[in-house]
Amino acid sequence: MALAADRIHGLLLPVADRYLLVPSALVAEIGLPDTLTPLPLAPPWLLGVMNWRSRPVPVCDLGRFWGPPVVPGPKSRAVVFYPLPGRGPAEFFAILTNAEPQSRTIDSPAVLLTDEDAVHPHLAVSLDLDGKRVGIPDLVSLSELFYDPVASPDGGSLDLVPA
Amino acid sequence: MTAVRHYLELRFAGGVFLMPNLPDLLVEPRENMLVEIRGRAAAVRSVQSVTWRAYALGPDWAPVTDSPWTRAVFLGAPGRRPVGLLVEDLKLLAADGLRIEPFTPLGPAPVSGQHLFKAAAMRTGALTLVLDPDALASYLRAQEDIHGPGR
Repeated sequence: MALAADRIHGLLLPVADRYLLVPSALVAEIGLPDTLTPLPLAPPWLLGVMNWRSRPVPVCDLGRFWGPPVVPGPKSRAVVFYPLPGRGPAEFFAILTNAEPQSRTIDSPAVLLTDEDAVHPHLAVSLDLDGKRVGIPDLVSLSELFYDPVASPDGGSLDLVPA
Repeated sequence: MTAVRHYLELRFAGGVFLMPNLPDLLVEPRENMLVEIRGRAAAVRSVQSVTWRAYALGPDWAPVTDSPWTRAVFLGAPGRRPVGLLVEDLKLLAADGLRIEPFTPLGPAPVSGQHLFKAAAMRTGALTLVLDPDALASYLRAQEDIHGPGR
């Protein structure tokens, strides 16, 4: 099935055995995954917290939902995202990739994939883009995965007093 | 809301963490504690027949009974008996020497409705997680609720 695609500037993030396609406007920065501080009792997909521009930013491995866990290596990158809609202004997060993301302007039709492997709760849709298996993240699903509705119901209000 | 003037740097569970040094915290040296021989608590503080339990945590944050702890940090709560965390080392740090930044951990909270960490102290290229005392107390009490007091 062919889709007529609008012209968008995106990034292809190599994650597990596929790519995630995200609008460039969602990404704050692509960098090396600095020292990750593990977060005790966190789910396995949360690799830890990194110091990004003097902010603590959680780093996750979404690839483990579709394949083996990412092993951070010299080609790995931490793609830092702006806060998801409805979240607090400081709630940046990062996704670990296997390699450097690729900038891509999407202006040609892509093939919608509907096989069993293409269906995943954290992907809105899967595409075949020039032979690459590409998933577009479902931001609502990611928000539900990321944020405990009781522990952080209001976009991360905090009662700590800065030193 | 009280401004935090000092943080405790705590070494336990194979890591180093910070926690605001709040007025209702009580630190007891090991020599003032009794080693627990039953249950999940590793030690107790018993004064005038009132017993406060304290837990040592392993690298997976499950209670362990064998730990090289030197002090107990008791966390108070209105209307509830304090519960203690056993730590290997403890230092007092002035807040104005730290840069504390808030963040929201991803994923489900390990204690109902409470994340254990809500902030981190930023250092060059790294960070130290800051414990939320209320969440930590809830987590320690949950260990008691799950495993029983042992007495």
